[in-house]
Amino acid sequence: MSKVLSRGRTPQQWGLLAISLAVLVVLLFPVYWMIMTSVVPSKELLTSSPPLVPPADSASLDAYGEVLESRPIGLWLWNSTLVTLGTALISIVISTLGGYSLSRFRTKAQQAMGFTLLFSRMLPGTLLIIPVFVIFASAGMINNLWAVILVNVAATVPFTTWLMKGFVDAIPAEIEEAAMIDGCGRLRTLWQVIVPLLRPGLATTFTYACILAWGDFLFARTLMPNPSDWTITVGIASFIGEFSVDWSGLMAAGIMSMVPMLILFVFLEPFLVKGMASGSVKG
Amino acid sequence: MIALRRKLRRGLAVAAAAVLLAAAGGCGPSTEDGKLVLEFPSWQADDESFSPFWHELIAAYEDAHPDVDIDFYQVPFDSFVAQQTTRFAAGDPPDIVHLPSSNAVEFAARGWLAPLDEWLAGTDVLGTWTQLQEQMKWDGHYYGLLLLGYGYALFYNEQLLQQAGVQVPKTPEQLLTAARAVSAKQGDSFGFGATTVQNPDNYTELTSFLVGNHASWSEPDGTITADTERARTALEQYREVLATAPPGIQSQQRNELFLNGQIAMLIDGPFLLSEVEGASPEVREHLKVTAPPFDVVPGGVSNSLHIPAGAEPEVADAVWDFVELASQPRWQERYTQLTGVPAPREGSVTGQALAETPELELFARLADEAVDIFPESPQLRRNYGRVGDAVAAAAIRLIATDLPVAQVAQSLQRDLEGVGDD
Amino acid sequence: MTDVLTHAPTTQPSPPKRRRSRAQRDRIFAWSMLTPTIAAVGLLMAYPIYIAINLSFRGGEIADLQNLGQYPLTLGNYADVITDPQLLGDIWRSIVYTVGVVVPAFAIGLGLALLLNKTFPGKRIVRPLALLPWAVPGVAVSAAFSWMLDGSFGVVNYLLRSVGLIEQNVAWLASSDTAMTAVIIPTVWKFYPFFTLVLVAALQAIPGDLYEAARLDGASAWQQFRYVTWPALRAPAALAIVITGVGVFREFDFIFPLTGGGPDDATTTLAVRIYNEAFEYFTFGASAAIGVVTMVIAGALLLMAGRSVREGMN
Repeated sequence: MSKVLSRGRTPQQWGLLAISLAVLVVLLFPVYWMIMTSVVPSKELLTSSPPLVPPADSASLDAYGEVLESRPIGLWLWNSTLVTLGTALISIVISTLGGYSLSRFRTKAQQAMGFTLLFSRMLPGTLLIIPVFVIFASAGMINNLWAVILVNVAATVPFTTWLMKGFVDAIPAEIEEAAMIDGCGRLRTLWQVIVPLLRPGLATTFTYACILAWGDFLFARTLMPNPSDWTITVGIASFIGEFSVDWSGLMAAGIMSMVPMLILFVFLEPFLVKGMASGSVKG
Repeated sequence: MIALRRKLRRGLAVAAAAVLLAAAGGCGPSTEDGKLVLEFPSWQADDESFSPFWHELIAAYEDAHPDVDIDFYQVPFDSFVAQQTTRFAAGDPPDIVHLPSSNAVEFAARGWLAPLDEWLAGTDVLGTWTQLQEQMKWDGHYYGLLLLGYGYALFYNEQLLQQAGVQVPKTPEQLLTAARAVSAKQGDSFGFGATTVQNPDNYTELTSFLVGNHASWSEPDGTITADTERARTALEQYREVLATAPPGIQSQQRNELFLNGQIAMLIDGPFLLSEVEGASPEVREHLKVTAPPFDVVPGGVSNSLHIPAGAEPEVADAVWDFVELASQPRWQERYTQLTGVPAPREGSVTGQALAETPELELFARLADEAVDIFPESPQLRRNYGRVGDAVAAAAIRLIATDLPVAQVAQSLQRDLEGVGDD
Repeated sequence: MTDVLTHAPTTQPSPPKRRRSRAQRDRIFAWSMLTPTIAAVGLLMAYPIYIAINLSFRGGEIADLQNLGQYPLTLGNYADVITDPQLLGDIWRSIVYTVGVVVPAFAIGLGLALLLNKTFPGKRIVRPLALLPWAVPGVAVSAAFSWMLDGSFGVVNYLLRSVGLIEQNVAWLASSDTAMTAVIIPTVWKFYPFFTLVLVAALQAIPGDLYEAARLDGASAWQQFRYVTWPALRAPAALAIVITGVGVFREFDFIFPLTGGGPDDATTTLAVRIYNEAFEYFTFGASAAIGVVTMVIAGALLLMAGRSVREGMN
């Protein structure tokens, strides 16, 4: 939204920044404490009055060095990236088509199918995991990235399809009707007229699919038990041992696992900022 | 995607699913370059104290069996049993089965493990193994080879006890006095350490008190004995001692506090020693271990090796060769030396091992005397998960509520009597 | 994606050859657009759901899910599950957990979205940071919170003591009174950014001139929200609530590592119960029966919610 009026910063804007920062301090405290745990020895944190900032004499980044050295964290991140990108790309294509269909064609059967999709997500994954394992074991696809991608797509698509439907709903049907009168086919209209208008929606849905796939633990640990195929979540879980938890290592790995998604959020920004829909709807 | 869509529209979806599903059957032994590959998932493959033994054993096995490879890999402990459950229920178990022994009977009772009696008969295992090997028995058959059975020991921080002016306890009463004395002191130290959130570890901790007091949850004939006089005494002791423990923590946090020098005493198996070695030097020198402060030494079984039911004979034989190798005196001695805990074969503690880990003498004695904390009733053994939950719930009532002990004991008695009815 | 869609027009039946009515063509088109979704979900979810339902009708000591035919058919699992007084408690706790997560998560998400829709310096940095909790994998979230909620030296206790809200340390995860709150907090923390993102995207789509018109009419800030902002947010908000609600209702990743369903079942939701029955007690039939009951309950709740969602969307 481009506000032409305010070039300079008004006191009100500084006020908003102050409020935002205050909110962030509260909301991001758990992340801050994860960082604290990764740089301060547990002995100093496990007291009745722990320090709230890293003490200069004992804080160190050793945990990161140790994790990077002793664990294949790069490999875990890479595996997670492949699973996440595969899942998100397939999901976004499928759910754009499906969401458009659910939004624009509202027969009883279509709506029932849309409901059934959501319904399929009602069973907890823990109940489905054994049959899912049977499928991929039968197909010889254990320790295969595609197995995890496919099952993540199946788990994600019911949600992303509905999400896309919501975003398509927000686009007036007159726009594409006009395009079709101009002689465009339906798919062409979707691609050339609707998809550009859907950019914030696509970005949102893509991010959503990425987050689900990035955070998946159950499917990854069950279908890719081989350590060379571990994703970052399985890697993080491996810091929890039988007798002890490597807290600083776990938190260091946890912090590192956020970075790719944070980068994704930053890339997402321009898609959200451009209020494309507003301009085009009018025209 | 479009191509796929067209296919699907022509009704090939069904076929595609069928292909994916019906591609089953290729379940023969997996081979690579004509070699037999034995899959061996374990939560100890990355473990600092146990993995060196496994790697040596596997190397020796592969030297003796040039046509067999062992694929030994790590599965995080947190999800290990769930992962194995998934695989067994899906009919695709690993070849070499390594289990936490508390789950072994549950797996055996579901027909997932092969009986080892015939193989064991050809060895001296049954004559030379610790009594705790009996925990591998279900319905008259042995379903596994116990790798570690132990007696619980009292780990303590000598400095904290001295500062509080108390001796190392030898009876439950002294334990309570000592724990209270430490907790009463100023500062962030606790007299006793335990798991104080609901967790399977509650079972082992509470049951140690129980067995230590000559009590048990059940008799071998299935009678439940959770509400006897002795059991109530044990529950009362547990409650009082745990009142001195840091609240709301899990066992890993408990260990962390002990290693940081903030907990004076805790009761655990000999494997904790390797964690203790990791404490910072100024704390490590004060950490000692002795016999538990009970008349009876409570004991447990840690982990064991098994062969899956229905394995191809060729695979089963190869797996047995591996199990058998692990049971040989040479490897049992090696196990003791490398891990610092006494292996289950009689006489596995060598002079050399003792020189490296003096505590082994104590551990070996405790393991010999140990009375197992696992329930004796077959009904409870095959439903250990449910028993563990019921006991953990009772433990948490003792820790976090004011319910009278009698009431907790009664409701636990009822819960345990109901186990296996459904 | 480009590839897929530019090639797509070839799949359109060409009008001159096949004479079909507009409605017929629309229907075919509509379904073919939905087919990839159905295929993706159907291929991988249909079989597991079929197994789960089949399993729920099987008796005996079930140990082999690939050959369920060998076990006798029975209604016993349902009889056991439905007559078990614990089931009502599980359902109630699932609802408490779901509502307890969705309501605060939505409130935080909405508040943040409104804030982040304003113009202020540094917004480009603030916005991704506000979404950061979403980036933390569930495994790390539960580990971090079990560390922070530690009843002895957890930092949460320290902070609350420092500001005087509590006097004594609270064993958050060990007491039946606080355990549900203690598992709701990390779940809220993980889920609010989704609302923020969806609502920010929706706010961006509101034409700015609507606000200008409202201002010219002398509308107050509240009236602007009530008559301009909220109508535009209603549909996406309803959708996001349903999606999150479905997700949270069957959520397991936060409760199980933190409390395992304890203490004394205080956090045993249907999802935790299903897991425990299958993976702790090995009663697969009962687990599946609870799963089917869950599906029915959740479906009913969804249908009820569906009405308000439809109203919200149309």
